[in-house]
Amino acid sequence: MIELASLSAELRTNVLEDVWNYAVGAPSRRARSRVLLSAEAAARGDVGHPCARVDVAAVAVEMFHLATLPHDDVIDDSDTRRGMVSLPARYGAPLAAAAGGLFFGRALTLFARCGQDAVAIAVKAAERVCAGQMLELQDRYDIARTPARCVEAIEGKTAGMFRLAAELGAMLGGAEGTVRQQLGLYGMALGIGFQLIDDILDLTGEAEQMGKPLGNDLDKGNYTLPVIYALEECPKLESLLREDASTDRVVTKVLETDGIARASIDARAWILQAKDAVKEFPESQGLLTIADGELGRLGVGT
Amino acid sequence: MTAPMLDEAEIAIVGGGPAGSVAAFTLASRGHDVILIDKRSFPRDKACGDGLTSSAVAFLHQLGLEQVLSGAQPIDTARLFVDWREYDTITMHGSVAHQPCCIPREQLDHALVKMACAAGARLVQGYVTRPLQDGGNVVGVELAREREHMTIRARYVLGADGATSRLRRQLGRQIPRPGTFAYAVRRYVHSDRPLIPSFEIYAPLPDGITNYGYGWVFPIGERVANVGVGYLSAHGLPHPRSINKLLDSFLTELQCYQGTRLGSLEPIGRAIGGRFGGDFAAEHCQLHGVIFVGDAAQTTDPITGEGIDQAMRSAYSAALMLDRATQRSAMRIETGEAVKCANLRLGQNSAMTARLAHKLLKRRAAQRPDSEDSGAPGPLFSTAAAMLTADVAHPSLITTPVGELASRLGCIDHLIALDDRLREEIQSGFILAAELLQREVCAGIGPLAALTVVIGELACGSKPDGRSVDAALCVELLCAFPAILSRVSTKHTIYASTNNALALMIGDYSLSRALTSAPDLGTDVSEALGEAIEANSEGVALLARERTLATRSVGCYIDWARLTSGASLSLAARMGARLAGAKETTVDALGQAGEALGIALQIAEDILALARPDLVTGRQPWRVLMEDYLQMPVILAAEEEPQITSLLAGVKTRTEWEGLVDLVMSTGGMERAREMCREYADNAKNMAAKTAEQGTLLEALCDLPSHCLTLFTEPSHTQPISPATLA
Repeated sequence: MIELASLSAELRTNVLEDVWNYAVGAPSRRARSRVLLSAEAAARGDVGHPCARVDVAAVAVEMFHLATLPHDDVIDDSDTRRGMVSLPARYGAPLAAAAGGLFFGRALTLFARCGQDAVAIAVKAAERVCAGQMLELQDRYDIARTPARCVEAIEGKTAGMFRLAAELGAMLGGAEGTVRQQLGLYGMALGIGFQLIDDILDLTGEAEQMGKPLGNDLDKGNYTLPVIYALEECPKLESLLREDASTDRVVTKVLETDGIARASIDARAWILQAKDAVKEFPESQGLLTIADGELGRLGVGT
Repeated sequence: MTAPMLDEAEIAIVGGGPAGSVAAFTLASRGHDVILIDKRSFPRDKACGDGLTSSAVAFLHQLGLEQVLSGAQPIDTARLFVDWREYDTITMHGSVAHQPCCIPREQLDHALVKMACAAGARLVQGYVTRPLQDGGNVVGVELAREREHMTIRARYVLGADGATSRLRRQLGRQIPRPGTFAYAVRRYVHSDRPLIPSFEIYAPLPDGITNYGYGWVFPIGERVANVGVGYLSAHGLPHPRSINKLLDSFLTELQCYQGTRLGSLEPIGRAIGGRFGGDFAAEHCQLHGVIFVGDAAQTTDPITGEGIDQAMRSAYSAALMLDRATQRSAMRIETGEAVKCANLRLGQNSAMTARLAHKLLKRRAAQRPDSEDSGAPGPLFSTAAAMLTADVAHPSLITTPVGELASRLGCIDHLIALDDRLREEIQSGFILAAELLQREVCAGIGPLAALTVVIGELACGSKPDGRSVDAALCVELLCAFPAILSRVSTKHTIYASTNNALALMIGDYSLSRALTSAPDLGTDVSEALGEAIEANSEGVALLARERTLATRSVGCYIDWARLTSGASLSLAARMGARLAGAKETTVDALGQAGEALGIALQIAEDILALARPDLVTGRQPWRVLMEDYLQMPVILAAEEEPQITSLLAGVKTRTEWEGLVDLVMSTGGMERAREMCREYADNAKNMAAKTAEQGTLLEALCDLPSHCLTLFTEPSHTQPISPATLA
């Protein structure tokens, strides 16, 4: 597992030192760098001895992910993140905004150290992530949001990052053509499944497990797939949302429908698609384990 | 009833508002046989704010229709009030000929219809009872008139019959996803004293429920004003119980809070209102062969409520398409194209902003601002106000002194290409963000950084090409990033939260576009780009900290300027040298020179910001001082006049801020800042001299700050100079 905390900040000033240490020290599953390392092994066909650039790339991917968090928290006015006080709540919105920029700049610097191809892949991903974020914001509080629009936003925002990790791993492992494409597909499908599971757990999971309050997305007007499905089924829910009913009441209503079940089927299908994309590769064990871990989070056995 | 009358025309236009009349005028002037149909006889009253933006006025001039504005009330400023306190004033800063104005729609529409008729269009009064269809395509309309029915056959039918378009409904098609509309109602009022010729905008609305909209006071004569309220209606947004009551309470509170300024207001006539705007989409513009224009195609901007300009422009574009189509005897018309060029802002994006504002209002309800801190609407409101007075809908670099500077240095062509690319690049995505971003980009030092890339390349003996424009665009967008991020506020108000969300979205957007446009110049340039982003972010953090601690010093300023403008200009110079294929030592030397140049330019920018209103945004010096007071002239002035520091913490009103600007100007701070600017420019020159490249252009590059200080304050009398003269 990539340990960001051991990275020295090497900052130009001391203004963001505390923020940096707080952010990189926060607990994380480091899912994106794990995808990158496993994809690199799968592409190279050998699990041992990756080149030094792979470690740099793994850190870069985590840095990039880290960059998006404080900006999300400022936009959403979120006070908690991964069970801890969020950056804007602790250091104020301006420093949190600046920290996001700093992490992104550092990520780009690190990508550049992995070669121009890595930069090209990262730039494309940044564009996707940004577009996905905007799409999601555009649809906030929109009762007419469709499943397709929801998945499109996820494809950019979360899956864009997973795809980047998988594509970079593939590139560094020397994969070309179909292999590289399949690994990219794995990243994207896994990312969509990953986000859908997060969205489901936001409604069903224990608050502590998610590190944020239950129904957090709903509260922020982000109508996720289970809610969209529940809306199709239950017109009463629409009036609850229009009346600004309490989040608890809305969550209870959503849980009475098949929304969660239908979204779980979709999530599972995406994860299985990810597994399918790489099952032919000799060294795909790492990638399959990650996918199975996601199925486990969903409460479905392999 | 007599037997139906029959008439024929090449083109029938339904609706005699500004869109219908402009289309009729355009087509009739080009020799087409046009019938213009309206259900009412002219002159007739119309619900509207009666305000014409300078863009609309410029467009009427372009069409040769400026005489319809005779008797209009000229407007010279836009004033924004938040919680009844004046928040911002934007002075008209475009061409005087295109000054915005107010004119009652009763007069304007009548005058436009007369112009259309004078050009040869025939005006017919009547209700459209049904469209005539032939194999699905509309080939005319049936009308009910006072005593008779009438059938009009036409090869083409244009629908210009407003937001609730009867013709569209008769064709059985509502706009898909209804729900993003704006509603507005207005009343004329008489005052017992002369009114200020200003577009006055008041937010938020007084009922505390309707949270996305504004009230307005637009003078249409010396003592008569159009007063109204408008709001956006979208999914999930609360709406007032009665819009007429909302107007009543707005008028009551207006009298109460602004009565001393506006005088005693007496309503004349009744209140009238309507629905407008919304989800513009190109696919709404054509149905069964009918082309819809103006509000029938949802062209009104639901944020600003501006509609006449877009209506006329969309009608004109559609008329041109028709004109071309008839010449080619082609039936097929790409109507999506016809209105795309009409400068439209997508309703969907506005609805998003509105929902976001709603959410924040809901969450921050307990913290409803009631202190002095409340006035911080952020870029959204200010931009809406700026759009009302801007001479053109989109700022262009060519018209600013940067353009003049570029032509003096012989690289105006590159700037034009850059301008086009900027528009293309940032307009490819999210429209609202793009508009705000474009303003930020054009107002800051971005254009100068872009110029640095081009001059840097020329100086290293290479001719700039498409890749140079890409690189210039990249640094230009990069420069906007710290500027936008610095707008993030620590305040906990609804305005601040909306502002922050917008600022981050736009900031991230500028970064993502900057990266996309960067040409592949090797990993070291990519690494330098990453480092510039890091430095910019640290600069933003430094500014945020120094703002809260009020520990401003020259040293701290230089640190900040080095991290932001210095890093960006260093990257720009590096990119220019790299594009020219210069040696590694040259690239490094130019990079170092760029850093000093960036600091010098930042100081120059500060001097100019305090010396005169911004040429792109119209931002006044006192606002600059109020919003970001880490400026070199202020810091130096405070060293000389220590009371400035304590005054900065205490001033509240606009007059006090203006007084403070005068105080700063009266010290030696400005002159010392100029000296410091020259010092850094000289440093840049010395470092650039080490490169042993073409001397003259490098000198010209390092002279950018002094060029700015002279060119940007005084209108130029000099002829453009070519690089040949420079050499």
